[in-house]
Amino acid sequence: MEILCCFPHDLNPGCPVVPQIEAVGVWKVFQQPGDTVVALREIDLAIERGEFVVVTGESGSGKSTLLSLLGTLDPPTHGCIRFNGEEVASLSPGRRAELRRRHIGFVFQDFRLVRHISAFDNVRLPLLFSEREDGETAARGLLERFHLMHRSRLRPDALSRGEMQRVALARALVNGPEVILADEPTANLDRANAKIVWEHLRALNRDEGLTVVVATHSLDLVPDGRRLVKLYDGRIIADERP
Amino acid sequence: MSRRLRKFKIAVAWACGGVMFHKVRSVLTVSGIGLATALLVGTLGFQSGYERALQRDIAAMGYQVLITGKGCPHEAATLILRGGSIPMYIQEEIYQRVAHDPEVSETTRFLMQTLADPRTGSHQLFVGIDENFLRLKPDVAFQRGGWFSDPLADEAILGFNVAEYRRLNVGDRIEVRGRSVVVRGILDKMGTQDDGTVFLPLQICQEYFDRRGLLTGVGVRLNDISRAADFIERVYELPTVQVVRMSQVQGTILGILNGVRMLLMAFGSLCLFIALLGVFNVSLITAYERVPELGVLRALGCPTPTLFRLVWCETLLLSVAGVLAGALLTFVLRGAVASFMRATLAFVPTGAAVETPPGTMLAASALVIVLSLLAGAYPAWKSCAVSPMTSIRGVR
Repeated sequence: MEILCCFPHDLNPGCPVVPQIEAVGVWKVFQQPGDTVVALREIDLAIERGEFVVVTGESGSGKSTLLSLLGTLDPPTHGCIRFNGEEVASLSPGRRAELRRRHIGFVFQDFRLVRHISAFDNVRLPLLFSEREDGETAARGLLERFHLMHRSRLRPDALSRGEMQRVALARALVNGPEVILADEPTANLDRANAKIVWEHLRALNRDEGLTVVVATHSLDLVPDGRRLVKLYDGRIIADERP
Repeated sequence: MSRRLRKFKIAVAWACGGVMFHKVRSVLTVSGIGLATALLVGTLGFQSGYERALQRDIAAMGYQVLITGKGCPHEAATLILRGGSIPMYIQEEIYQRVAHDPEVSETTRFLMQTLADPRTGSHQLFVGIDENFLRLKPDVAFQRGGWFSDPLADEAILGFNVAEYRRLNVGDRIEVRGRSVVVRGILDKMGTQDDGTVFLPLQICQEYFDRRGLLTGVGVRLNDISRAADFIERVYELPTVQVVRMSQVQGTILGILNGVRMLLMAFGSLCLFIALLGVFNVSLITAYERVPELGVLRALGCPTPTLFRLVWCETLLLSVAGVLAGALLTFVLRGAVASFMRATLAFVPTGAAVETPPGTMLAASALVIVLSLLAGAYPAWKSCAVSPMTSIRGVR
């Protein structure tokens, strides 16, 4: 597959550029004792810089697995994943960690906040391995942006689920990533909080040009202007661009 | 804020949060480390205090060689150090012969006797001394009054504590075996058994206690201590005497102490080992419990060394808290440790206490912290093996 595309905001339209994240002929097979599970089959997907991509499908269709591969958390069984044109599977674990640290922010379904430290410390935790100079200011800025400043000293168990997910979102953003990968970010939230999280994700994409990839089984609140990738039994069965 | 300081603050927040989150677990671990540290410092500190006090007591006696009656010379020396009466005597003529030896610089003779004090139920020590007493003890000074007016005067010189407890002053009278004695002088506080002693003129003491012509011992200071062996050989030619060098007494007493110290050190090491097992166990449990959180850190790109240091930081915090608790415990319990030692050991010098010199404290603390960090290294290493996939799929 030849992919020649431009960044939406590229100053030189027409120049050939590589996709930001690209999956080519990707398979993912989980070997378990007495069982083999094929989670992804022959996935070809190119995500351009600044896209808002929603990956949807039933439970077990391979959404989370695809996200973990795109996020370099797990290598594919076959095929290749490229990030900014660089083949990820050939990188050492340390180099892959560096790639995630510099370019990718993750948001998880069950928030995955560290229970024993405050919301503020959770947000600035990634600064522990970041060279960002203004990290502390950025962390405060994100808390203010997500209306959490007054709750910043509380531990996660004192926050509502909506607040927890906003803290997780702030944590994902504190190192200034180019890509946000969110795995079912609204699955554990009520409708009002889910709407807030979708709005924040949309704003990050629209206002700051971040690439956002969200895996979700519910399209109820998904904003307009997004690309929709449908998975079924580990295959892409539809790829609808806005 | 510099990046380094910011990272340090985040790591400290992580470690403090972890320690505070599991309060009971943390308190137990810190207590274990604290107890082991206190035992280690207490044992080392008591040995150091004991040695110093023993050296001070022996130096305060003012002589290098002690001549006593037949029997165990070490027992006699110990009793004299402690301030007791020895039922063995030498004839006074021995003193005359020893005093004329060419190796002898100074000599002093003395007779030690005790009397039960019916009011307190304790014993009062009386020591008959001669005019050389002050020459051998240059540190002795009078707080009030002075030396006996006459070698045959019914006078006494009181140790500081005797005068203090019995509220006696110069010119007051005390009774010794039915005789009335005038207090002639009161000594300054020495910090030795002299503080609890009533000194009498030698001949008066011999008369009061019906020990005419008898001595408990003769203390000798030599011109050249390196030639003590020749001197001792000559003294042994005299009948019914035992001779012992005070340095030998010190060595014997410290040898006995060493056995006790080894036992306590073994106990301390066992406590430390158990405390380290606690650190290992707690760190391992914590690492296991934090797998999802560590997985998230992995997913966010945390490098292995950073993750290792982060987990290790909690172990460091626990061990530092334990060491501080141990230091505090040492200060609080050092009196109790010294009392226990006094009750356990046959002889404890006057004023022997648990010393806590900064060097000993630092060395013991550093040892405990390093061993704790080693105990926490494996759990920290295990934490680094967490897959970033656990952040999405949970613990498998």
